[in-house]
Amino acid sequence: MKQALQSKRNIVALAAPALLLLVLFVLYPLIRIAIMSFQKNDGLSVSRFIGWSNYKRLFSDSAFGMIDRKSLWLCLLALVFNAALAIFVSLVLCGIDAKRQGWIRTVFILPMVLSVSVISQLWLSIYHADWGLLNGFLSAVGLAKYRQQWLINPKTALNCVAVVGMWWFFGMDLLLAFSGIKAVPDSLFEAAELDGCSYFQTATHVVLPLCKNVCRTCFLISATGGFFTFPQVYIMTGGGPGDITMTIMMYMYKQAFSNQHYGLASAVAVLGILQMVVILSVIFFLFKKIKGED
Amino acid sequence: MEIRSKGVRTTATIILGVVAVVFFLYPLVWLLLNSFKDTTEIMTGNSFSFPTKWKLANYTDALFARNILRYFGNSVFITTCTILLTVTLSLMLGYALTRMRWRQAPQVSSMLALGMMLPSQIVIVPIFILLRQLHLVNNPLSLILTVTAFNIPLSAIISASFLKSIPYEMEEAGLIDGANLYTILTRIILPQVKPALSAMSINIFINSWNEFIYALVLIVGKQWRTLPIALMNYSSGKYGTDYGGMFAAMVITSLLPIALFVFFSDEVEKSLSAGALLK
Repeated sequence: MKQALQSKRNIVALAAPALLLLVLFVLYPLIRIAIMSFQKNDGLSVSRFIGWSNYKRLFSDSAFGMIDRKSLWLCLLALVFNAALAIFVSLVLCGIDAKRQGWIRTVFILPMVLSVSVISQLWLSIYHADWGLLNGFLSAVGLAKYRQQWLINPKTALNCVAVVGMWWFFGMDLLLAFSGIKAVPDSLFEAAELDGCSYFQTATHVVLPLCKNVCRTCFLISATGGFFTFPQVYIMTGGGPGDITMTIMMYMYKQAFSNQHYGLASAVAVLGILQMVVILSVIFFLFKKIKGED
Repeated sequence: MEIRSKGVRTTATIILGVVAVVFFLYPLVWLLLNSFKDTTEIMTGNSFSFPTKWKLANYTDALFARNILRYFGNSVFITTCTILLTVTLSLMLGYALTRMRWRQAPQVSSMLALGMMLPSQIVIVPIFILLRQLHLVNNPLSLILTVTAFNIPLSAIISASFLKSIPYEMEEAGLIDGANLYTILTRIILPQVKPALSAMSINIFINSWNEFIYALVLIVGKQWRTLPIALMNYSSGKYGTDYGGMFAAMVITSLLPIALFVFFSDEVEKSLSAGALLK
């Protein structure tokens, strides 16, 4: 009678279509970039193996070092202003009157459902030197001397791009941390308060250790998002001025689709993935060191 | 849990409320107001005021003269196909993983985990080359298949964990009555997994509707262009800088996600956090 669930044919019929797509679009591309990173490939002539040349070229290129450091800086900003700040804001949000929590949370989450294309165009307008909201706001509050060309000034461009990613993704971390904190039983909290702990003592010593996994997820997704920043850069600055806002992803895109250096772009991708693995492992390791529920 | 001192609570509420309104909500209101302003008014008028004259022509220009209606249709078509395909394939895989015994199942689970951790954009070069070899570039199928593949891991895990919570008796009874696999899936399983379907669909909708980098690389021509890409070159080209129209197009692009969020906000919040938590 259970034949229908045990026949090989049925198992293959159910699993094969999804697995085929996963192999074609996840597994095979990963292997392919590893191979292509050792090749010279311009997309037209037959690709040939050139050993470590792509990697050597990247390591000897001081511009790539700069680009890499910028991606790491965006990663760090995302860890601080998305993950850490969102966890802090959720703790405060959980402490205010319950009936006011809903709309504030909704407003924070709203940008997350929007297209990153809309968000980038919106911030491009906000930063616009002549009629942008930011300069308009500075003039309106009497700080007109700080008006500037936000995305052209080398001092401000990169951080202005970072703000857009934070604005977009803050809600995701907030939503995660908030639902994690809400899942902590109120009784634990009340017990700690009866023992005379203040709200923030309870929050950091009782609530956060119980939300360890949720917090770790916040840090993991923010780190990945920040390090691989792409659409905002592509739409708002194209990596400029100079290479000031060039990120790993933007550089890879440019090498592949503007210069047809597919091999070099693959080497960039491999270096990106390796660094990401290191960053995520460090986060995992640090969270192992912290006491708390697994 | 609540902050005990009423003064601190009120102060915290005010600070959070002001930040939310000024920094998160106001830019969106500004976007909406600008979409009704004439381009000259956007560039020279008061940034903070209502439009002096509400210019609905921004919307009609965007929709008809600038083809946004067509791109909207493309986005709807591609997103719908992606949702249907992803949900079907993920449910099938989820079912095979939870109800059937096969040796390779653990490897499949680790491949799902890998697919979930991997930022999809990093493998764009080999995927582009593969789809070009298959002559699928500029074909909506390329975008549908790619986005489907990257959404399968999360959806398959959601459906597997949901299927585990459904009792097995109904299927057993069906099997005794001689039902085949197709009947079991469509008559017994499908009606029971509706809550999982909405969680999956919301995640897939947001990812597919907003897909940027693959839409940029895989759809080069105008015929199948989607909204996020259409926005990008809106204010350039032979029409000059039509900022009013561009803001209108941005509002049009955001209509469906915002509507989804407004009408099903609880569902959306649950689905998004469920999606991220499984990572």
